[in-house]
This record gives sequence, structure tokens and C-alpha cells, in this order.
Amino acid sequence: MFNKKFSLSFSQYVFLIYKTQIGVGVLTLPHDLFVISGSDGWIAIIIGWMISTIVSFLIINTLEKNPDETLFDLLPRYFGKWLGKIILVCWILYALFAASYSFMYTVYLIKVWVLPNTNPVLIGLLFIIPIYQITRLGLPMISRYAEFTFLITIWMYPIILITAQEGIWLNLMPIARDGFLPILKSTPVTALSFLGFEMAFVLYPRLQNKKKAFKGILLANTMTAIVLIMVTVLSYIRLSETELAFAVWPTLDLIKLVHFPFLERLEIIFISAYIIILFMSVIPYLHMALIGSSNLFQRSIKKPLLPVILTIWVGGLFFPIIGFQPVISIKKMLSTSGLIFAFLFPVVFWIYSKVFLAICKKGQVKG
Amino acid sequence: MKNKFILTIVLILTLFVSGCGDQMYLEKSDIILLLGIDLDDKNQVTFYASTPVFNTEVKKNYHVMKVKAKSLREARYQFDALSQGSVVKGKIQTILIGKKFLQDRSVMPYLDVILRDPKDDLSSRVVMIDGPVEDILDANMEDKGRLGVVIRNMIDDTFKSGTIHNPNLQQFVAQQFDKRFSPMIPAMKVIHKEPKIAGISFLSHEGLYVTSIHLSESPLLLSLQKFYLEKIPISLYISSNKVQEKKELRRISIAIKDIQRKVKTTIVNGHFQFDIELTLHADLVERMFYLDAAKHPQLLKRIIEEQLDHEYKKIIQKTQKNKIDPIGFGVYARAKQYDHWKKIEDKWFDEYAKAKINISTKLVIINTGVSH
Repeated sequence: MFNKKFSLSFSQYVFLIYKTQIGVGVLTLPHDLFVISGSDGWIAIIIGWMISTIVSFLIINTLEKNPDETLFDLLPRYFGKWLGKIILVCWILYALFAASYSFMYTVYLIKVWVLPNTNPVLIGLLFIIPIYQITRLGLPMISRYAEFTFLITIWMYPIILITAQEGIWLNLMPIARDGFLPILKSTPVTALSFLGFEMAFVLYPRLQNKKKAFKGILLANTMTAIVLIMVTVLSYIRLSETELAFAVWPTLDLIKLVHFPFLERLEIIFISAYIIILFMSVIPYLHMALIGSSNLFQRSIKKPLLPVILTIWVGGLFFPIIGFQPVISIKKMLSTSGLIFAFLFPVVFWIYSKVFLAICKKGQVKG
Repeated sequence: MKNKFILTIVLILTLFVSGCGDQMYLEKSDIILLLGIDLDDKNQVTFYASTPVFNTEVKKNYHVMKVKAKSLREARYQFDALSQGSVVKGKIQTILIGKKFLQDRSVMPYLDVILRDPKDDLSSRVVMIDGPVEDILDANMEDKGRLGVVIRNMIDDTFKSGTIHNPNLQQFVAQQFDKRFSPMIPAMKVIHKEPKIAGISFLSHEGLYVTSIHLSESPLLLSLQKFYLEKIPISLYISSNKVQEKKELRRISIAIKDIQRKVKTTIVNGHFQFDIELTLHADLVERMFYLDAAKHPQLLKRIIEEQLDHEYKKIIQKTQKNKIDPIGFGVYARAKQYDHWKKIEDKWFDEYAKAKINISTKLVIINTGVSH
């Protein structure tokens, strides 16, 4: 159907990473940050942005040596057959975990806010249809979907900005009121919202203009950081401290404040449209898991595997695994595994690859 | 072939997902537009609900229910028992709370059921009734319309004219929980079966009724807060002896168009001191006494400024005496003097009562109309 040598354009690459990052995290971030660092939470996002950008640079720097190979191709080469395979399996599980969690979260969100009386299985059943259709066609379709997502949800930014009026800006003062320690402590919390740039591990080989790879990832990270800061600052100036401390979804509470004379409950429309964005974090991770497992078995197993995964997802909804407590505790697990795979691993891998290549060169010279 | 197969599957699936399982007919549902909470003579919590009636055969187009219950959720079951159809509480426009209730206890725990349910609208207005809530429900509505809509319109229009503060439920809850200021809500009164907006009532941080100000003073308070609308109308009695005029004619009215507020927060002798510099840009809309404005161009401005300073001081003293901070000085206290704020955070309202507040008003008259 599509050309096998499909290559990503610059904007597709940026939107793919950016829209993967915007997802589950944004909805709860103001609350998560507020609990640890009070109204200085937005500073932690800037630190988080800097760290993500540094890690992104390392990812690109590592891949530059082998411009046509994904992380999954490199792993066996760099780490040997067995260790490479083990790491590969870990990556597949991580990507699958991230995708599954985003999917469950989407179902839970819709159930709580929009369709409280509907069986979650039915919601899940509806959701897997577009997910299947898009993931089936691989990267060309996903990258187009990323562009589509950006365009169709662009109205959300002005809607959120409307809430800036009537805000108490003095809520943010004094900056760094309790010193910088709480801010540093809350920085790992922002990791979840920046997850998605590790997608560069698989996207880089497909990128048309590889010189722009870092520029694109920087752009995506910056756009994400701007959205996060916007949402966090607006929540801090509009919502009271008690609401921030107890509300689960402060971002949605923020949107609840917007009223038009002809429309009272904007958040229903907002959340329904937000499904598109949430799918855009489910699908890339699912895609990542699929190409990882294709690498593992040395042949394309997307066709049989994709329906199996989706069936398991829907099947999982029969059990009461979606609820408030699981959603919160699994989020912590995802956050931790994200720290390991997206932040720690690229750094270790970068150092390792430098050492590895140095040893190889030495060996060549000697040999 | 394959596409047809997928299409068939999708079509079969859509059979299961039709949204008509929990349909609701408008005629059969009782949509609560107005909710009242009050204490009766025996100090029992009473809930009132007013719902519109869409049945054309009935003469009265709204319906009032009254139940005694321990909580709002329990009251809802009883409303259900009283109503013909299903009770819908997601569209509450106004929440009326009796003065007696607010003198006895905070309303916050009773509203939890509304705040918890994401289906509920948080834009309902919160209003205190000076007197029993039942009076409002008995008010004469024959020449007005449906009770729930009328009350909401009255509140919103008075708000637009700039004389009252109009918090929605979310703002009310936010004010109530905030350690830095105390909430205020509009107050209504029923006189000879006619509902009327009476002014603004102040609640303490604990949610109890403290005091209230009349509709003629409330614009002053709103202009002191930085919160303002397109215009705030202020009518003043000029007590200055520079005006030689009979008592009943010593009146002047201005419409404030823009406010600039500078607050200097310092700590003097361990207590807060606020120096407020208020610059009001206003139109002169009414002057009932004669003053030679051509001869003394600054005089008129000065006497209004003096009078405003005096009125502002009176209001601030009133809030300090009652240990409430509806104006929100706590916001400045925390933002500017955080170290000191940290120490007195939990007893801010006691501290506010001891604070020294200096206010100086500057008036910029934009327009004096066609006569000067």
C-alpha cells in the first residue's frame, strides 16, 4: 500500500513527538507538582524541559553513527545477541505498558467525565477500531495522523487561554518561596509529561533530513513545555490551593470555568476531542512495541500481534482494573519506568556507545 | 472482500453502542433550577427545590418541593419521591442559603455532592437570603416567570451593573477554602412578596455569616478590590464643608471605568501595614449641588477624593472589626511578605484586624457629560 522507503518530513517528525508527549500527563500535572512544590511547580517544568532536551541530544548523537538503524537494530550489535535481546524485550514491554496505560486512561477518563453510565467495555470496543486502523498501516499513517491531530485540536489553546482573565497573578509570588529544594524534588514528576521524545529512537532512521533531527526534537520539547507551563500557571492563578491539592484533574477543572452564553459545559466537548490527542500517545507506543517485536522475531509479526494486543485490552476492561486507585498507582509505575527507559537508558547507552566505538576503532587499528 | 468484512463488523458493533439506553423526556423530568437550604423553626435542615413545569395543561409553570433531610443526597431521594419524573440536579442555576442556616453552620459539607460529581455544573450562583428561604419560594412570580430563571437573571443583571459580587459555586468554594481572604456572596431579601437584591453578605473563613453591607456601599467595596467590570457606579453623600448646600442635595455620582491599584506591603512593629494608592478613572454622572467648576477645576475632584477616602476607611474598619478580609489583603501579604506570612498563616484574620491600612484615592475625571 505504502512505499516501503517511506521517509518522515520535518513537520511530521515534530508533530509525532510533540503529540506523543501531550497526553495523559497534562491533565494531572498541576496537581502533581502542587503537592510537592506548591505554586513554584512551573519552574520544575523548565528544569524538566532542559533535562529532556539534553537527553534528546544524546539520543540523536548516539544514532548519528548509524543513520539507517533504529535502536532495536543497534541493540544486538552493541550488546551482543543475548543481552541485546533482553534489553529489546524490556523496551517492547515498556512501550506496550505505556500504550496500554494510555488506553486504559482514555477509557477511564471518558467513563468518569462523559459517559458515567456506559459500560467501559463498550467504550473500549469503540476505541480500538480507529487505533487498529491507524496502527495497521504503520508509520506513514501515524505521521499523517499526528499532523491531523495538531490541526484539529488547535482550538484548544485559545480556549485554555480564556481562563487567564480573572486570575490572581499574585498567587505565583513570591517565586521560589521555600527555596529551590522542593522544586528540584518535583522535577521527576514532570518526566511523565515529557515522555515521548524517546520515540526518536525509532523515528530517526526514517527522517528525511537527518541534520534537522535535533532541531525537531528541541522544537517538540519546547512546544510541550510551553503547553505544560501554560496549563500549570493558569491552574495556579485560577484555582484555589485546596482545589489544587484535592482535585484529580485540575486542567479539566480549569476548562470547566469557561462559559459561553450558548454553551455551559465546554469540558464535555473538550474531553471528547481530547480523545484524539490521547490516541496519539497510544498509537506511537503501540507502533514502537510492534516494530520492536518484529525485530525480536526477525520478521514482521504486526498482522497477527496487533489484533491480539487490542483484544487483550478490551478483555482487560471486563475486570475492574480501571478505577481511581489503579490509575494513580500505575501512573507512578509508568513514571518510574519512563525515568529508566527514556531518561536513564539514553545516557547509559550514549556513554556505552562511545566506549564501544572507541574499543572497536582500537581493535581495527591493532588488527 | 476484506473491507466488506470490516464494515459488517463495525455495523454490528454500532448496534450495541446506541445511546438510547437511558433516554430522558423533558416533560417527564424534574430539572432543579433552584436549590434552597435553610433551617426550620426546630433547627432541622430543610431543602427546597424549584423545577420548571413544561406541561401546558398546568396553570403554574414551576413547581416547588420542600423536604427535610440530613444531607443533600438524602434530600434528592425525597425529591424523587415527590416528583412525577426523574429529578435532574445537574442544571442548578442558583443555590439559596438561609441566613439562619449560615449563622448556625457552614454550607460547605452540604455541597459536597455537587462538587464531587463531574456531571454537575459549577456555575450555579450562591446567594444568601436575608430571612427564611421559604419566602422567596412563596414570592409573587405571576408577572415575572419561572422562579429559578428569574432569580438567576436578577443576580446576573445586578452583577453586570457593577453593584454586587457574583461568585459561582467554584469561586465560592475557592474563596471559602483560601486562607488569604474570606468569602462574600450576594444577599437577597423578600419585601411584600417581591424578591429584591439587598447587598453583599460576608462570611467568615469558617463559613459562618458575619455581617453584610447594603447595596449602596457594595460598589465601593468592589472598587477597592481589583476585581471590576466595565463600570462600577458609586453614589456619594458629600460631607465636606467646602460645599454649601442643604443636606439632602449634597450628593454626587460617578461611574468608575478603570481602576489602578498599587499596594505597598510592609511590616511595622510586627504587624502588617498596607499603603494603597487607588487611581480611579471615572465619569461624573450626577451632581445635585451647584459648584463653580470653571473657577475651581480641582475643587470638585478633591472633595470627591476626600469623601471616597473616608468611605473606604469606613468599610475597611468594618471588615477589620469583624475579622474578615473580603477585599483580599492576604493575597498581598503572602506575595510580598512571605516570611512573615508563614508565621501568621493560620491566624491571618486576627492579624488583619491589627493591620494598619492607609488609603489614598486619586480621581481622574474622564467625562462630565454635556454640562460641567
